[in-house]
Amino acid sequence: MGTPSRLSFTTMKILIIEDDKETRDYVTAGLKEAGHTADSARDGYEGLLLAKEVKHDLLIVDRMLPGLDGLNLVKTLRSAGCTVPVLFLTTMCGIDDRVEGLNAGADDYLVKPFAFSELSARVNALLRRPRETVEQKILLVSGLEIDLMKRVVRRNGQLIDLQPTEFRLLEYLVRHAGQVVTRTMLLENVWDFHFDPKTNIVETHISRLRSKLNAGNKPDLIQTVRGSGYRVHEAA
Amino acid sequence: MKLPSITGTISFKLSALYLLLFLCSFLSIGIAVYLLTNHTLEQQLKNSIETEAVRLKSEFDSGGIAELKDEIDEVDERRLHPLFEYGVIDQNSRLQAGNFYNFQPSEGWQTVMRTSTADKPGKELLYIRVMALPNAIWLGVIHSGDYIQNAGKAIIQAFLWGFVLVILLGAGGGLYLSRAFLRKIDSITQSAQAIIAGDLKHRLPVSTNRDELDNLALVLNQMLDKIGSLIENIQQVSNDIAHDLRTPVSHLKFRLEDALTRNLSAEQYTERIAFAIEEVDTILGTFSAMLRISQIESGSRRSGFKTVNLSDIVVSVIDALTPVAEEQGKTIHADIDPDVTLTGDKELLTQLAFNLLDNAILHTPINTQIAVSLSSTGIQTELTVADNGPGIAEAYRQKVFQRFYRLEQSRTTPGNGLGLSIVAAIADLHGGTLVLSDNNPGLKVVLTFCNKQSDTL
Repeated sequence: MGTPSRLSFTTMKILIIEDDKETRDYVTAGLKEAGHTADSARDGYEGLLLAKEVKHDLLIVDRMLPGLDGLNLVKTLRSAGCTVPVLFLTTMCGIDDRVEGLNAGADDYLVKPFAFSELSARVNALLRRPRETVEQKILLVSGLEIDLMKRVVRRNGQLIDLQPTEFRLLEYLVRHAGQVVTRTMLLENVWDFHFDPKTNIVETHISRLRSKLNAGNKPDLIQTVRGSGYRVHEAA
Repeated sequence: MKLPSITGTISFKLSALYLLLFLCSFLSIGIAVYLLTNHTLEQQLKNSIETEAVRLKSEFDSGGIAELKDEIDEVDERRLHPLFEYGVIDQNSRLQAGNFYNFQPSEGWQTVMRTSTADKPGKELLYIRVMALPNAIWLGVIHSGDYIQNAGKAIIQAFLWGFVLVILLGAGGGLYLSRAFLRKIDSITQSAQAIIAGDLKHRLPVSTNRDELDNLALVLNQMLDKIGSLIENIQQVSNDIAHDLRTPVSHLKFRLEDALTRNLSAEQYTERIAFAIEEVDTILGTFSAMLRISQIESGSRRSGFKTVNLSDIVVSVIDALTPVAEEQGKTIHADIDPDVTLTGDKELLTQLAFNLLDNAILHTPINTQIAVSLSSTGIQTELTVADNGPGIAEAYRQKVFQRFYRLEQSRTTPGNGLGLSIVAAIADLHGGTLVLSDNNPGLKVVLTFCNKQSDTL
């Protein structure tokens, strides 16, 4: 976690429902370090009770839990009218879990084992979500202007010709400006690829996008966050 | 496992039931035969008595009581009808002619039970036709019904013997069949126990009779074969894990141990840790690829099959990989028919197309031309990825689908040797056939889906 991202978020209250102590402690410590407050529960029933009693900004729920499993926990919460964002943690062998989890009402999922930077990026994306409810037509960031209706991009007023994929990539990065966006998040949201491709297509597409955006020796808009992903800075 | 006793076997119960049914029908046939015979014989007897009575009445009609008496006496004397007896009585039951008077003076049929007489021991049933003659006298023609009773007795006896015989044969046959059945079950049970005990190559015995049990045993043997091949597959995977994951894990261990023993700077440690994490990620990636293959092979994803637009999938994959190909100095030519659909799993088909094209880019030299085409004839859908690279020698074309198999020429390129295994598993799940052939020069991969078949999956 870099300092800028810690500063750019207000403190959020996050509940971790996870039976594995190691994972629970690792996630809790990481989130606290990132400036959030974190509650934790060891099983489904304890988690459900806490989620109902205390208002949280985000729930991180393990799919497999003793007692009440994650899927039913989320279903119960959703049917009770609780709209708090939920991030599911699933094991890597459950390739059907994602669809099931999202259908049950979860907002995102993460396959175990995961890097904390990946979790952190997704947590930030989820916490940011409610602010985006107003449909924007034009995104503005550091001299970059993205017209979502006309699908055109301008930098300092100069038109930049982008391929549809490059446009979607840029749009996703800019929509998450100020946040770290991981390679997996890009694969899932820009390409709809839910597997781990051997070839790093993200890197290639980012470098193309960069060269188009930065043509004429302009400062780089897309920052590479080592070991995590990419970030576009919020309005300079 | 304890076998049931003979009387507890299904075949014994079945034969007992059949025996019971058979006995019931046998009994009803017996009763019917008895009643019918009785009735017919009685009718015959009555007819002959009636004829005799009518004859005698006509004697009376022509010559009165005297003529009748003479006729009866003559018949008796000359024993013309030795089985008939006659009697003529008045209204006070006094005998006027003949010698039998034990009947009621009323027109019609009567039966009388005669107790033992000197010449005939035992009771005897008599049939009597009584005819009213003028002047209040009655003619009785009597005949013994003994033979009807005897016939009835004979029938009952015959059926009783038959009954006993049926019971003996039925029970004996049932026992014999049950024992044969039990023996067969016993041998199957023993075979099953041998398999449970660990002899996985053991198969259930199948006799040449080809009865239901043999058919069952055949099916069970096929099931055992399938299970056997699955177990072999699992063993293969465990061997693969042991072999192909040990190497990177031991490399990692060496590097970490090395880092521990050296006095490195903080930056150097950071670098080593980052490297170790990368290594672990590779190992985890291999793990998840293997688990993915086994999940695909389990077929559970079939339940979520939907109609997917294969053209869109292939186009998006080409779109994603074109910059990569260009970066490596390779060209992709696409010839994709629009709106080719297939019943399947979008996510998996995307991975399939990606892996095929990715392989073509990854394992070919600079300046390679790669052609991707998708076409559908309505009956079958064909996805082709062809390149003009070095190709794969025929001997290795099947091997590349095996898990962790890597051609000598591609050992140095990144990858885990699972890409084509995943492709094969996904193609198989969708009922597709994968054929590798020579593109003269290069490799041509043709994946064919039969549309009809995929609908029934």
